[in-house]
Amino acid sequence: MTIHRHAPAQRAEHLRSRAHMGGKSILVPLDGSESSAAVIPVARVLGEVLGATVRIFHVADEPVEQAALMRRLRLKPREIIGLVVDSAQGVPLDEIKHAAARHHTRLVVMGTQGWTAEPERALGHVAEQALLTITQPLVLVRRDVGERFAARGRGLARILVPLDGSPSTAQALGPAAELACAADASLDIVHVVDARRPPAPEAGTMSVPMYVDQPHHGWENWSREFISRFCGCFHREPGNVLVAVGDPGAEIVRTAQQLDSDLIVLAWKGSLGDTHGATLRTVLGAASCPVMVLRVNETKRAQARPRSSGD
Amino acid sequence: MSEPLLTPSPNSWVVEIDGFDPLLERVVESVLAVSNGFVGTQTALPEGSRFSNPATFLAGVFEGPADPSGVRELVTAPNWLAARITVEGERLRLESGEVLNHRRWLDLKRGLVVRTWRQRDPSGRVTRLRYMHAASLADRDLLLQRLELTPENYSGRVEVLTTVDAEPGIGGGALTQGMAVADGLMTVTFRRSGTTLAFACASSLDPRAPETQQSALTAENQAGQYWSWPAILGESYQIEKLVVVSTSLQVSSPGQVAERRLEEVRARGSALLWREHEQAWSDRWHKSDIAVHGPVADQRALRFAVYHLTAAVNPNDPTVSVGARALTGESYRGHVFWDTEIFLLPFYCLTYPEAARALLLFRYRTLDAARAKAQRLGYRGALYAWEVADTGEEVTPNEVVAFDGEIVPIWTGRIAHHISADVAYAVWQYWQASGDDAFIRSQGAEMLFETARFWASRATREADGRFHIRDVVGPDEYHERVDDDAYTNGLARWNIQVALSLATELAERWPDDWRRLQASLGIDRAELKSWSRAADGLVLDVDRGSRLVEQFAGYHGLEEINLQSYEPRVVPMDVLLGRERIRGCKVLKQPDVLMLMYMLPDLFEEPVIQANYDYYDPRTGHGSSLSPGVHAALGARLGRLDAAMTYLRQTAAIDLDDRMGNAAGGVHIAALGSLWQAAVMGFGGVQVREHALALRPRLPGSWRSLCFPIQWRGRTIRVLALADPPATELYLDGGDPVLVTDPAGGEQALEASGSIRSSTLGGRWEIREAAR
Repeated sequence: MTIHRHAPAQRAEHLRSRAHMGGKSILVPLDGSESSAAVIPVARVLGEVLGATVRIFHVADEPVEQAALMRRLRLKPREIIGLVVDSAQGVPLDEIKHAAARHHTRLVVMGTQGWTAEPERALGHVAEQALLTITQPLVLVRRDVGERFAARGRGLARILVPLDGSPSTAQALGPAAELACAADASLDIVHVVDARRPPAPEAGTMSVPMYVDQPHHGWENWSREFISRFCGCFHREPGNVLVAVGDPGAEIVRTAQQLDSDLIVLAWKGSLGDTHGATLRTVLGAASCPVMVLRVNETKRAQARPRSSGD
Repeated sequence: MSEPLLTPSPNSWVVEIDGFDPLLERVVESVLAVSNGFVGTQTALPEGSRFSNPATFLAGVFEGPADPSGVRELVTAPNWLAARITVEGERLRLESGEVLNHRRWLDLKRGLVVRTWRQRDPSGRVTRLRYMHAASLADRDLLLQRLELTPENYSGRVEVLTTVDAEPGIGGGALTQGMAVADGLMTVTFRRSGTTLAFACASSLDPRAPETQQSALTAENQAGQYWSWPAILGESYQIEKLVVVSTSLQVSSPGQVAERRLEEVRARGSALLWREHEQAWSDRWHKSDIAVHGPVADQRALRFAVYHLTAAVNPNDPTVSVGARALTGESYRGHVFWDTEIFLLPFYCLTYPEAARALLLFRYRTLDAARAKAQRLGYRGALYAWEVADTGEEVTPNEVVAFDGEIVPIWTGRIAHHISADVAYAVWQYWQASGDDAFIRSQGAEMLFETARFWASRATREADGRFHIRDVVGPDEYHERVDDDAYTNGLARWNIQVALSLATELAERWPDDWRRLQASLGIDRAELKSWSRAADGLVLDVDRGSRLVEQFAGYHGLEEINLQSYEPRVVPMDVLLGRERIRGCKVLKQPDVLMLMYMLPDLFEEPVIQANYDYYDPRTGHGSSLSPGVHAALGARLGRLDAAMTYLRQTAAIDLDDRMGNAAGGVHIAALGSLWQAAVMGFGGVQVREHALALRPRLPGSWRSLCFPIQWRGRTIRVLALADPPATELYLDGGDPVLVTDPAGGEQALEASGSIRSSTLGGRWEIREAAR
């Protein structure tokens, strides 16, 4: 049996609380491009679900009057009932960060690309910098995804949370469950396995069972333990716990398509350079629905180790 | 009595968990489960926690949903471990305040769990606690719990609730039709089965101050006692809790019986009850311990296996069997599979024959259901259900939602027919090992004849003049609906042959029994001839050139996949390749041919077994927890000692190094059975032969010696295998001489006054004087 060093008893509590969304408003930075405007329907739905005010926010080089701002953002007053439209002067990323900090921002919703769209990249410059620096959950929406979301008009009916079985990525479950509860959406979990990579080294990580003696019991039991371990604190239990094997990014995109998901809630460890970063880029570039990115920290815990004393 | 709280057993007898990790708590509670074959309990936290999963199971107590077509599953019974402590109004919990120390260990030798815990509560008070609990092996209806509390830096009022808490039943109690709680007694009755459980509990406090308050606690879902006293800094207080369990499956008035039994055991005193429990375990270990001079981890793993195998079974109850997770978890719903006969029975036959007999009588009790299943499918004789709860009826579903969300068919309940031969195999093994003629002359013979009759009707003679068994699934469940599966055909042929052999022996030795069975089963000479024809004609060929046995018809034509190229991998091969591809390739979930050769080695020459091991081993994906243990056992017999050791440790890791989370639903009792087989029947080289015990020990490089007892026909044989210089010694504890077969096939009589020694591990036996 493995011996576990002392772990804080409140650890699972952290799973529940660390990445939760607080705040009263949803910040929607727009640069006036059609790409960025496509995020508005997504932000509206999230605002309704969370009971948060949607604040459209534009950063310009010089002061902009409200009427000019509306024109620049291609907005008509009758179309923005319930929304707030603001602007600021300065460097876009800095102002977005300040605004996010100032207005009790719960979420930031923005397009993956703006005026300076770079089709070969999953993320435009501002979106990438926002991803790297903003601490609030960030919902990223490609233009085609935003348009599709608006055309479907069904809001949030299915939310997909991809996990790798580690406690740190499971931190995405809290906000996702909160959102699913508020939206009365079904919560699906896909455990994504890269068959060539060992499971995350964090203690408490759950990998796919190597032995499934009877499939009709084995997978049910594994799902039950997965839910108990990672979802036990939440009000909404997942409808599906699926397993997908292959390239994580591609499998997340495929599963979202298969389940007809309306939102992917993805835990991200803050780097665009490593495996997790590659996964994020793939998902942002190819997912058929918006992606909520939650920055999580690897749990700072002793790793479970085989018993050694006296062995 | 030795004091288990203060003197834990040596390292190799202890499975220890240090600290507390809420995410792993469910795994820990299963691995540390205590059981006696009647009651099994996960080691949940007595004070309660949202991460804890209190679960107690009673053998044979199944319940199903209101819909009669719903599957019955093992009931989660009331939690008898509950003990809530309050210090100066503040509940002691792991999640509240600071954990200064927390350790739990399963003492395998004594069959109990000890917990030590020091907690600084939010007010700064430090309390030291020691717990101990066990399911008594001396009185199977008795559960024991001890709690010791010491205030380290305060004096103050302590309150303790020692209770039995009910959240019974599947579906949050929706299945119960009644619950009654009164003065330390809780009775729960289930709606569909009508089964009633009764838990009677009592506790005592020592020392007891004059200001101590005590009262019976009778809440809606709790029965027990409330204690309150002014605890003094540095003084230790001990609460002893006794719980007696009774069910309407055994007695007509379980509540009255539980209360009466509680009075009886209280009168004996808890010290004696603990001592008797410890003695009962000591007696069991005397008949089953495996001693390895080698890495402590190997030794501990083998004792962990023997512990759970011993704890899983109740030799006094022939109405129950052992489910896939025994009484240690809710996974597999308490259902029983072929695991019991093939992976557990060898252990019981050779160490605990009374338990083996009880398990086989469960199969006898369900023989009518097996006959009905055969008849329903158009066959004769007895076809056992692949998966059973308590009645013998088939409970395997026809389809399931798979890991990827697809609905897929489950074929085992329909075509995993080898289960009937597996039961027959266990019957035969038990008879050979125990010499229990009374059993074979009645129930055993009936099971062997009815299963043989099934195979004779199941095999069909075709145009090629041979008998075929088509459309089955063998142990390798990656390949379903196959024809002439080697394991199925091999066991079927053997089943028929031993039935014919038994018919002859009965006619000669016990003609009255033979006539009675002939009459009751309607067996005539013509039918016996038809069995003989089917057995002789069944397809099971060894290719002359390659010496290979094809796993099933057409296997050699499947896609070749190099399993090595997928290593290291972290998912089973069927998940990796997908359903379609796994069906069309040679990758095996577990090896049917090698299993057959392991179970019936005398049917094949060793070069044939070697050739098949070399062929099938690299094609086996080990997608079943039952697989690596078989490779370990067969590999050891074949002298592939390093590989066998790797497989043995792989098997040991399934529960003891759980990284998959599936030990949370209970230990893999069949894998633990295969671990014992790998040591005793693999490295120990034990084989059950007709009328003799065969041995051919071969030790792995990391073991200097291996020592184990075998119960053989009412006697105990002790086997000691030494690595350097290589030697094997056998000792007989007493009784009449027994025949043992040496590796070269020669038989020797082992007498109680002497020993037998082989100067090499594989050489001939020499008789020596006893040197004890």
